[in-house]
Amino acid sequence: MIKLVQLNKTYKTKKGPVIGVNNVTLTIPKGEIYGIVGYSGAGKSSVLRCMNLLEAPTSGQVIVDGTDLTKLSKEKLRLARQKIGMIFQHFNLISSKTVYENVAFALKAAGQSKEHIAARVPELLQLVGLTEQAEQYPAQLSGGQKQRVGIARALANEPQVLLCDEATSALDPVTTSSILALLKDINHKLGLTIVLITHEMEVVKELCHRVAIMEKGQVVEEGLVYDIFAQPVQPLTREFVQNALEFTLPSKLWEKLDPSGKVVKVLFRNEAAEQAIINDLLQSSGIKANILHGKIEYIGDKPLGTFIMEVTGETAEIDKALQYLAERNCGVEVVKRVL
Amino acid sequence: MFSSSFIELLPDMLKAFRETLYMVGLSLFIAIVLGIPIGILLFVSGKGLFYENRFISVVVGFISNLIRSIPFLILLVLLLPFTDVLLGSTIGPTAAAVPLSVAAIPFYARLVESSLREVNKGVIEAAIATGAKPWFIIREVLLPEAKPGILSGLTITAISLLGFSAMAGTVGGGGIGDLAIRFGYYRYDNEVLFTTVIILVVLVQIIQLVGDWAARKVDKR
Repeated sequence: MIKLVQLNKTYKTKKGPVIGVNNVTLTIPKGEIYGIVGYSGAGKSSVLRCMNLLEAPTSGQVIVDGTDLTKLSKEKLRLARQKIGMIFQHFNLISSKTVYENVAFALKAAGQSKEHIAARVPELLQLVGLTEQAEQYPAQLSGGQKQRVGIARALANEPQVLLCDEATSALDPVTTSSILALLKDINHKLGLTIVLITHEMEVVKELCHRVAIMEKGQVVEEGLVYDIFAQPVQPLTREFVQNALEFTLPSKLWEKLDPSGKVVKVLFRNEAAEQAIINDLLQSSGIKANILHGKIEYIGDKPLGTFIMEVTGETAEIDKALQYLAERNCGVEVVKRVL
Repeated sequence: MFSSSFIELLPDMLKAFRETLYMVGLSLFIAIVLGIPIGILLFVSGKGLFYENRFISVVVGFISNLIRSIPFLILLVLLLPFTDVLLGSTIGPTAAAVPLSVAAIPFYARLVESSLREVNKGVIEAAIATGAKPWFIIREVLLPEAKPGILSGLTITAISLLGFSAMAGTVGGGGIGDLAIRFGYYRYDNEVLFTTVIILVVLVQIIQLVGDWAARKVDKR
């Protein structure tokens, strides 16, 4: 649906050129929710804003639904943008217009007839659950409601793509999850391709099918969300995943542990998370295991288990056990003592 | 309560008051009709906007600064030949409205431009992202969003014009200023002088009150 080919964006500043986007090539499949993650300044926002040419790339192609946007005339680009919805961190609603008028704005901009607008706006307001607020001004709405207006406006012209620029970063956790649920629902109902940028891995875990991790203008890792969570390769990816999944043992607990044993973190991926691996392990070897922490996450309906255990016994036995776990497709990592 | 000279002058005063309202009103109207489009032009031809045009931006900006840098009294004299060509006369409130308008147009245009600058860039960006035409964005986003500022600017322009109109009065434009100089100053009639001042004070207060009220009324932020 969206293809970025060798995208580059350089900004001219007083101190000389600054590279915002460095040779990014991405393919975003139709109907998927695609996340772009990175710290601020990583270039994720620039990449997103290149997708509807709010920012013109210095070089490279931006292919949306088969058309290279960078090759279009001003007028053709304007028409293409009507099929690419966008929502923003700070909502960017027209403060002098009511909720109804804000949504109608997008339809009027696309030259729709009065009859179409009169029928379409209530439909959109119902979709985002704001029928009651139609005559209110943005200043009278809560953050979540404002973002819903933004979503209704972005969907007005039945776009095929929805770009979300930190759409939940200005919202509290409860409102965030309600907006995420709405986006998920829209993706499901309308088959809309959604691209979202965020710095919260939680949002990716909850919503996305695929994710790209960006650093210094480059995509460092890209793939299915489950794979990224289960087997992050790059250090930055590990950092992001750990922020979302990690559990650190309280230091009080360490004091009570047997110094001769080992503390290991075991990651159960895919089918491994559904099997009685630990049971098999304990029966076949002479070690003892004491579970200190355990959790199974479901990422897009697939389980991902994380266990932290203290294992005690003969050193050789422990090593054999850890090898056994690795053979059964588990991620094994000896946790260092932190005091 | 009032001296006989005051009663005698009352018809003159009413006439002067009407003349002042007329020249201020006329030049304010012209400032709206020309100042708003020029203000929009100054804004949209600026850097990073959809009609970015360095040439227009610099030329229009220079002319508007040039006019604003000439003291009004001098502008008044400089424009006498122009007024003569335009109207065939340099006397009376209509003639006075010419330099008043020339001064008010760039003044108001800059105020309009600065209130457009106050419009949240994100909102403009969102409008561009919906694929709206530039003209449509000006009409449906920029002007409504800047409306409170545009109205406040109008209040400031009207009050400045009222002050300028008194100066215009002294070179044959008529109006309250003319009255104050002729009767109050040259004939040492303090009563007339004070009355005209009071009229001007009240007028300014009314303009400010109405302007503030209107700006608040349209402000939905």
